[in-house]
Amino acid sequence: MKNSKKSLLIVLAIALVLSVCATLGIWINDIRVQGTTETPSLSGGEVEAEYLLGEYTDISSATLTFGGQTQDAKITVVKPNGEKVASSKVYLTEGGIYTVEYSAVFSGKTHVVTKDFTVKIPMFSSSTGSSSFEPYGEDKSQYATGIKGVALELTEGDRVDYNGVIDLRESNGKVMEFFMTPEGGMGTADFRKLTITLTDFHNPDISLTVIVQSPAIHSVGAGEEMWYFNYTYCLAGGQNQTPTGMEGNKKHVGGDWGAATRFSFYGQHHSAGSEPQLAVGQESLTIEYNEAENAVYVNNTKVVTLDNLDQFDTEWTGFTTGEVTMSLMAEKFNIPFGNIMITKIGANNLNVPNGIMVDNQAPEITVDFDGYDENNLPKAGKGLSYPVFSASALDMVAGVVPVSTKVYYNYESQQRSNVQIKNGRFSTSKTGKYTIEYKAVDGFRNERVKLVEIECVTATADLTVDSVGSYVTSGKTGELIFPAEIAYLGGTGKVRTFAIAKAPSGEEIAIDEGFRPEESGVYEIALCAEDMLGKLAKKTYDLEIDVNTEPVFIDDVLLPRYFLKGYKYELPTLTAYDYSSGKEEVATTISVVDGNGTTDLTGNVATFVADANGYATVVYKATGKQGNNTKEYKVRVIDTWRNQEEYTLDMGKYFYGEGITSVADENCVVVSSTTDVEYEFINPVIADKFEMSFAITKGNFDYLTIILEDSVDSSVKIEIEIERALGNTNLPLTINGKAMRDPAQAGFNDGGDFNFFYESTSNVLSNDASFKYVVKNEDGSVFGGFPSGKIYVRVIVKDVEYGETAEVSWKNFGGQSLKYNEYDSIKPFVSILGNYKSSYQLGEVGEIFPAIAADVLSPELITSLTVYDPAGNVVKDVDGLELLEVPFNRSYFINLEVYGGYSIVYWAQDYMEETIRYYRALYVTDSDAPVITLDGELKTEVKQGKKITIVNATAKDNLDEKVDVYAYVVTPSGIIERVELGGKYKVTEKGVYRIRYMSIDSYGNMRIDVYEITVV
Amino acid sequence: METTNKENKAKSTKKIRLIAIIVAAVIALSTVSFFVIRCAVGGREEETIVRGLHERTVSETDIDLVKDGATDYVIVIGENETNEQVMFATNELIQNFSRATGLYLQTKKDSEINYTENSKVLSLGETSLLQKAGVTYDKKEIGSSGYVVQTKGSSVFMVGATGAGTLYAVYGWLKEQFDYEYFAIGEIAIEKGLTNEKLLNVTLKEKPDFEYRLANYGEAIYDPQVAYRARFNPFHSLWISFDGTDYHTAFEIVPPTEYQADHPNWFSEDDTQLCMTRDPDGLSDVVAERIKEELIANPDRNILTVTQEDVNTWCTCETCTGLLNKYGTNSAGYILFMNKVATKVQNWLDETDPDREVLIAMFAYHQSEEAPVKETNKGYEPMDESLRLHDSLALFYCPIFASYYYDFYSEENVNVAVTLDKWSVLAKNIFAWIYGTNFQLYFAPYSNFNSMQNNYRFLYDRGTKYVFDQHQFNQICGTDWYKLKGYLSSNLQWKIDSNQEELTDKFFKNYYKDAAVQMRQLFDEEQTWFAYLAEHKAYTGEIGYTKSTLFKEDYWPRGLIENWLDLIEEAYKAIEPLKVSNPSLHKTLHDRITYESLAFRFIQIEMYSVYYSDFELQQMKASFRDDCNEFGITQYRELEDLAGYIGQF
Repeated sequence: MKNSKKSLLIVLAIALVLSVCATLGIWINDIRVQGTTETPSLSGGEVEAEYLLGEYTDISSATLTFGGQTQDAKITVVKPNGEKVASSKVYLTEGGIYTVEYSAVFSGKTHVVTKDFTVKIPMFSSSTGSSSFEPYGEDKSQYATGIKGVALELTEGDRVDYNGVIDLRESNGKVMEFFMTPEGGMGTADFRKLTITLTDFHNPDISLTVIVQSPAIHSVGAGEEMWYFNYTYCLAGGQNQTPTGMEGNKKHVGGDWGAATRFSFYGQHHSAGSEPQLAVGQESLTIEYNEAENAVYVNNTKVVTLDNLDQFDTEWTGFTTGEVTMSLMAEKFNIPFGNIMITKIGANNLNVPNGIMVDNQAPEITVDFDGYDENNLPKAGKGLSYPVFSASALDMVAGVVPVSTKVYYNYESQQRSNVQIKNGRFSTSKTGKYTIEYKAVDGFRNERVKLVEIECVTATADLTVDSVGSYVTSGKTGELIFPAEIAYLGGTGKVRTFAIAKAPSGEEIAIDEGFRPEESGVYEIALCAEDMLGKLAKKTYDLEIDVNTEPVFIDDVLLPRYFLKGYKYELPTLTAYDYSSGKEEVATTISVVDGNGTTDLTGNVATFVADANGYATVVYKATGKQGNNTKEYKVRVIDTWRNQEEYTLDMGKYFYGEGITSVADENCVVVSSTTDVEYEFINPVIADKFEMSFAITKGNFDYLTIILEDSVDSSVKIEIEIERALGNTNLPLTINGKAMRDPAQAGFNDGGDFNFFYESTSNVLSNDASFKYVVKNEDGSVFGGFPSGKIYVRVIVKDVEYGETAEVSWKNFGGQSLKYNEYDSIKPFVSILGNYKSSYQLGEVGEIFPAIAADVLSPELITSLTVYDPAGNVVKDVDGLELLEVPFNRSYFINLEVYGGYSIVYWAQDYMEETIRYYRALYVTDSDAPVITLDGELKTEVKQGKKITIVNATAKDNLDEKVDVYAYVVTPSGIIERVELGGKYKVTEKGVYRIRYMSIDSYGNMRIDVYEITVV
Repeated sequence: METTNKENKAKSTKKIRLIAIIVAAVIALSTVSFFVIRCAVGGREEETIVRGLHERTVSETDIDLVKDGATDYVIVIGENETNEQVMFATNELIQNFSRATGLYLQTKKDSEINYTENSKVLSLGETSLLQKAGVTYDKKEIGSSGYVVQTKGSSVFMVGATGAGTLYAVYGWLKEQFDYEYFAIGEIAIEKGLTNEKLLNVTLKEKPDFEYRLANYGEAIYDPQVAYRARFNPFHSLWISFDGTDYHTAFEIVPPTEYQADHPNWFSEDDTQLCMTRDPDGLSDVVAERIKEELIANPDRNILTVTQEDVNTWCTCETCTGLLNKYGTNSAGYILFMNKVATKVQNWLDETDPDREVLIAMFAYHQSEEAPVKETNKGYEPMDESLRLHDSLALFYCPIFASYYYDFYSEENVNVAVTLDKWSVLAKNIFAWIYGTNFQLYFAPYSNFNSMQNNYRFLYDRGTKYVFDQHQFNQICGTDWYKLKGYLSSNLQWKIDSNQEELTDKFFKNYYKDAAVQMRQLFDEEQTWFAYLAEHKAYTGEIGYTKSTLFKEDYWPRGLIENWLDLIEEAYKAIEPLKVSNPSLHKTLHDRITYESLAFRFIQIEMYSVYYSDFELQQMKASFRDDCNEFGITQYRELEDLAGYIGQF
């Protein structure tokens, strides 16, 4: 009771103080005392009521007095975003209301007093505070043009930020319009380069830079270069691009030049030019971003197209919404400041009072209703739960601001109660109205509240679950069992279904795509449905599992799409499991059934001859404890030989498809058909640096589609489609559905070559002239490359004219020229699946990367890998395996125990015994320089004309047993002279001599120790 | 602090004067010619020399140049002043005054000024105010580039014998008044934010040590403003050109297309040079006439060259071979021919414009490098009196085969000294063309920093009036400490005895600012390494090293290059805070650091590509290419542009 009274008194006292403060206009807005309600008094700590963005606070020191004691107050500034800075001098980088906290500890308790101040946002702010601007108004410069705008004075070395957001869609792409008002008068440029950077408001990693600049006048006073006056040169580029500008067909990357447009930084055109001289203000520069073209324009002159790979190495793909911020930076000043008059910025109104941007807009809150209609949300059910939808908030000044989310019951009544949110849901234990309150506050304390009401009722829709159709009720161990298909009825909102298997042992197994029971006995399968309110329905049935006496093949092997007759193939092995008593791996063997009958292989290498139907069958056989099982794969066999003994090939046979005629002539392989067909090159080739060259020699069809498919996952592909068009050239060309800006250059029927080249490192598909394209998938995402490293090439010929022939002549494929009776003279290609670092450290474990190898014509390759240490010895891997001619289809790891280069040799040989070696090196480098020790001390001061002794020195190094030391004298005038260790050197100049002792190890680590000797 | 600096300046002036008096006394007693005192130091000779005309006194006044952020001063130029350098000087004064004070000076004609002792005038060039103020100067004494700056009453008079001299006078005054100094494009040091500044009492009389100092690196060649600010003669501003060509003018003066058909004897048998011996009278008539035409067309210029084409060939006809056999050098025939030309031109001048002094230069270069002299017990003497060069000829010596790591005093360059001594017997006027980069491979690191100053001394001491120290002349920006080299050569050619070490220090501090320590360390390490290479790997600094001779692992060990690139990274780190506080400066410094990285990155790409994956190498090359593009580096070597090289990327 006493405490209550005391508390009441204290509260009253605080209220009194606050009211007095308020009356006196003192903006102490809060007094918080941790652990007590008594009031400390603040002395000092003055702070301005308002600042401008980019200024520093300078809060004077303060004391707090409490209980007769006075303590220095600790000053903490709380920024609008909540960040705290324990300093009286704070750089004010965001607009809004800040709070200063003054705190001190009295008798072990912290007492805090606070004050607020506001940081206003000017239309422009300067990174160094040296630039300035005049609020919107009539031109006050010496030119008095009468034009209204914002006059900006830019300074050297300063970045000026426009503090509004430009909506480029609203402004139809217009960024800014300005004209020059040179301080030094017409004809003298204040500065000659202005860089405008636009940054995506929603993603600061996306930016676009536009540079407009004027060259220096080269010839002072002379006439021949005066056109420099009249033009501005422009470059532009995204955040990942070097600013570039197209001057006609000439590309300027960086530098002083670019797309030329008529505009003078000098405020006038020179009389020597052909253009009429204009008064200041009559000519302005307009910068625009054209979203449709993804291009930058300056005064209607296109500067550059940002996704044109002829102009850039990489594409720039645009802003997210078109809402951007802008900064300006001027350079190449002739005087320390320069003036421009801005007349437009986007579609924004420049006429803001006093040039101060007023933020009275609260942030916008966006709730993700997960597909539900906000105005017709499902009702909650008593005793169940309800999801809290996620939300985000965006403020046009502060950017993304946090959203606080609370749930209330009876929100609008005085008895409203807070409901706990747990795991993104809240419990609905009562009928009535629940309200989800989303609240977002910006730096100026503009607050937005969004309420989402949920009505909770007693009765909600029933939810029942059942199976659909028949389902498996029995099976054997190891078999893949799918549960019954689930159907549900009723429920509220979205309903999730799933199944759970309960084993005889009691173990519960979540069933995704099916499961393989390993126990015999009865499983209980539960078919479940759960609605958005958490209501669950379940139906169970029994699944009886018997012991399986036959082994089970769980996996599949991937065999080539075609076997080529006569070549050895190393077939993949296939694992099987015996489930007769638990799960146990068992041995498998391989047989081949082909034109030679049945052959049981002793290993996994086979050759193939087609059977009567043109196929060979590979049979995997597993032998279990109680029984056997087989799995078969049927593959077409192609005879590509013209004469195998003479190693001559019929390259026409390398294209296979129903309905085609493929004939090799002396120049190429001609593939023709009279109907729509699909065919492919039968051997997979390396994807990296893949090239192909062909001509459409009979173009009586409408579409030619070439598909590069991953050899393992055929869903990964690049689809190139060429369409016949009127005029026969500049054919429409699409890559994965995206139309190329520059169409194919050859034509249907004109015999011209189409060339394509794919480079996997950069993921660029190019032809020899017109385009270079970073490949994307059909959905616009960046193509991720071919995971297997190899591709099949498939060709589709579509809309062949009735009674006519479609013909494509293939000339080059993966570097192999295709023609009659050609030998396979091209070596295999090896692609290493990893990048070696440029340096490794001693003691590190180095990975020897795997590689893949392929030959365009020969599927049979012998490959090996050997690794040598720097002394030339074969290296053993960390498991003791000697890396001498080992397979390179896997990684190896080696201990790097000595300095120097470890040589890695990847070797491959094709059927024709064409061999290739790829060398890589793994370098263990030393980064420690020698340590130099002087055998004595050098004098630090001597008289002019005397001789000094260059004391001897020795060096030690971790890499080399012996390293030398050299000494050099640098005279006070900067001349370097070699001196002998232990020798004498006469100092003839007054000043500081520097003795440099230098030592360098065999890797090139250099140490220089410098000793100074002052000569007086 | 500022006052102290200025006091120090005044003190140092006194000190310099004292030293000058002492030195003068010593000189008077000395028997050594050229005012040189030599003493043996560390096995070689060093010099204490008095050169040039560099007089300076500075003291304070209580006159307000700027008071409370305002100034009463105006610039005054002559009523009819049109000289382009004076107009540029006016602009430079306005700009730099504004940099220092934020104030924009007004410019008036002298007729608008009623001059009194209290007038607050900054007078540029020949104004009527000079006479009123009693400021006089001797044009001959200060020459074509020298100047006088004098404070009289409340006014300052800045004037040279030429427009360029007046411009340099402005720079001289700015240096004293505001600590102005020009380093390179975009880097001018000057005091800033001065709202109260007293006028200094300044008297300067300057004449550069070399009368002609031609812009010698692309930045200064392409942009005459740079040349002026560095106090070089802008390219094409000095020589009378023949169809735009200043040197290697033979075929511009006597175009084969015009003359070869009718006068095959005027050309060498291989068509690469003129033949000056088979019909010297006929040919010299044409040459002299051509010179006369150009002299008429260029009344303000008085030097030109008649010089062979830039290939190391000579005419091998019987007559030329005969002279070669007789005198031992092709230069004999060249001299005899040029004496004819000079005589004809001089005779014409004597008749038409007797006061005009014209110098026609001929090369001692490639096949004409050797002088036709004989050694006697009296020293060198002409092999024939007819071989002395006409007074209106200048010998333009180009020691292209010298070792530029070493100076011309060194044993390694004894031939240069001997050759020049020989020519000194024949020629009254000596010009020099020396070299400061590896013309075969611009990206290769190259060092002539240890020889530059002494070479200037050497040439000066032998009476050289003109020096052209050719660097990477045909690109706007280069590797190889290009900017430092430009700064040093501009300052040392003006005043040879400046302290190179102090200049270097000043350059690094002002040019690299926050990254000065790291960049200076890089420079020092590189120069030390060159000293090692010179001693142990026979590096001589010749100007024609190719990749095969220079790019060896023991020349540029991989670790050394990596460590230097690490220093570059440290330099980047040192400027990182500027990214926020001063992004423009950050970008500027970043660029400056980056272009000094190019030589080392070039070595990595050329010598150590095997250490990088295809992708890494591709990235390295792309970034190398982009940086070269950004900075305007266009040349792979002197006569091969970069496009071909980076095109292979």
